[in-house]
Amino acid sequence: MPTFNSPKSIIFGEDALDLIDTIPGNKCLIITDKNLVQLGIVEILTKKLEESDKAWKIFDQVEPDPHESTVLKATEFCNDYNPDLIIGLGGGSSLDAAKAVWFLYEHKEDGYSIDDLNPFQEVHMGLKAKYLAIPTTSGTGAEATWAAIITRVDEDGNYLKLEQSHADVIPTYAIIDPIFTKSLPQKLTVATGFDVIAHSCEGLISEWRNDMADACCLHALELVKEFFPRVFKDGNDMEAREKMANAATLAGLGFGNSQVVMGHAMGHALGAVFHLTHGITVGLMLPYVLEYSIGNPDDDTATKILGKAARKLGIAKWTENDKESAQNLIDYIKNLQKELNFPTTLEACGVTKEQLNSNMKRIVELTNESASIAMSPREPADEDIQRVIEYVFEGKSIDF
Amino acid sequence: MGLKFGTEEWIKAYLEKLNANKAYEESAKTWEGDFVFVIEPEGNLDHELRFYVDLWHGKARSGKLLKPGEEVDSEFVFSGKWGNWEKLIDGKLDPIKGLMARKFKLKGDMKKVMRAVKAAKNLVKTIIMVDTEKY
Repeated sequence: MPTFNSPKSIIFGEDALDLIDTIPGNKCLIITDKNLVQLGIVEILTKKLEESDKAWKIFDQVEPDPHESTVLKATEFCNDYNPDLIIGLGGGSSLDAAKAVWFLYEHKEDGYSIDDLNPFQEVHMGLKAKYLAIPTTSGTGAEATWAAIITRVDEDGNYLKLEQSHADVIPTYAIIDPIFTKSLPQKLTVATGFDVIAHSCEGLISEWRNDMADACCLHALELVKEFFPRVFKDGNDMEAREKMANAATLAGLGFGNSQVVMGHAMGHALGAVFHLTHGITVGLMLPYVLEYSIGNPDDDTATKILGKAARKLGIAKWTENDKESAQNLIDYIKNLQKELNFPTTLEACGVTKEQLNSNMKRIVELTNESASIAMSPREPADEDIQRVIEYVFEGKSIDF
Repeated sequence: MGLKFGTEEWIKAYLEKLNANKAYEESAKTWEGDFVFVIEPEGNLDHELRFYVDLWHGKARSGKLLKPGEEVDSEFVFSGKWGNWEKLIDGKLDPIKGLMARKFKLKGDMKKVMRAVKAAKNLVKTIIMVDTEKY
């Protein structure tokens, strides 16, 4: 039987942070990055903690695409401090790093490593601390998901994105307050916004889709359609900021319970090889992956799902058939990318043809190692993975 | 009339299908590890069935039905009740989802399996390709 997993409480909306005093725990470890300290974002949180008589310490060394070594360093810090509330503050990197730290902290006596953070492992979370996730971007949905993406560097210096997950490492609480996203730069607002669209669309067509997750993904897309262009035009539009933050969390709940597909598998591979950010790679891959999915000669499930979604969202007319409607949704995403100055080719992300060719084998390998690939409605063979990547490089619509 | 699930003939047919399955071969080209599949009695199946498959670089090198009490060392053991196997054979239950819902159990190095989900899925999906008579 499917299970819908989510944080115990999601506190959202303007001034949501004010309710932090209702969250149990008086010894808080904040896991974040230096940039947010410098921007004064962390101070917004620490002031509230002080008002709530909660003690706190900060680990601020999380880097983009957090490395396993950083997680281990943070875990050591955590073990020394012995908190009863871990607070992940930041984008997906800090929230994912905090998940991994929380997991290792809870299992210190079991000698678990990051590899043990997998869906089949016996775990006991929340005995030492609860986890509060506070996103400062509107994209990853990490505050509502079971996954932690951690970068491992192997002996040869190769980067591998570990996709670790367990239903019990979903944050205990999430606070979604637009105060944390109001100063997000436009470029980051756009990249994270496309992450929301990728989560929602991939969540809808995943082989593990289900009614509960569908509702979250669809409503996230509805919010994005209305508020993404608005927040692009005016970053101070607080209603748009709030709705995009809610959309990100909803999409997180959606794909977190239905899983993502080959777009994320390929996006993670490209990110690991070319050190591109998550939002850029999965947003870039999305229209191509949707085209590939609706081009499935053996199964039109993805076409039906995307077609229906397009009609519900008002992107296609109710008189249009599934194929036309699904294509309308893909065209809508492509147009939005152009309108919001989002890269539409791998070349536009700064990757050269030579770099691509010399890394293609590794990209295909990493794509195949991702669990997300197995959830795809049209599971690609190696040859197709390579062809899709080549099309993404050139910006060609998928025609196979 | 299909082959009775879990018999020597069925296992032979399964291994043939697996070795002819290009999708499996490609997705498991780096896989090294053997499995014991355990089908626990339930419903019309009144006895335990176990079969062994040795998987190596996208092919099944060998496989056999295990006799009652016959022990074999394997890296992984995938087990579940017949009712759940029946759903799997019918394509109604995803093997990985089945593991998460505790309809199946997997013993072995989980982190190795997590890097080979596509291969694992193709391994089990091949079962569907065998014309199977159920219990």
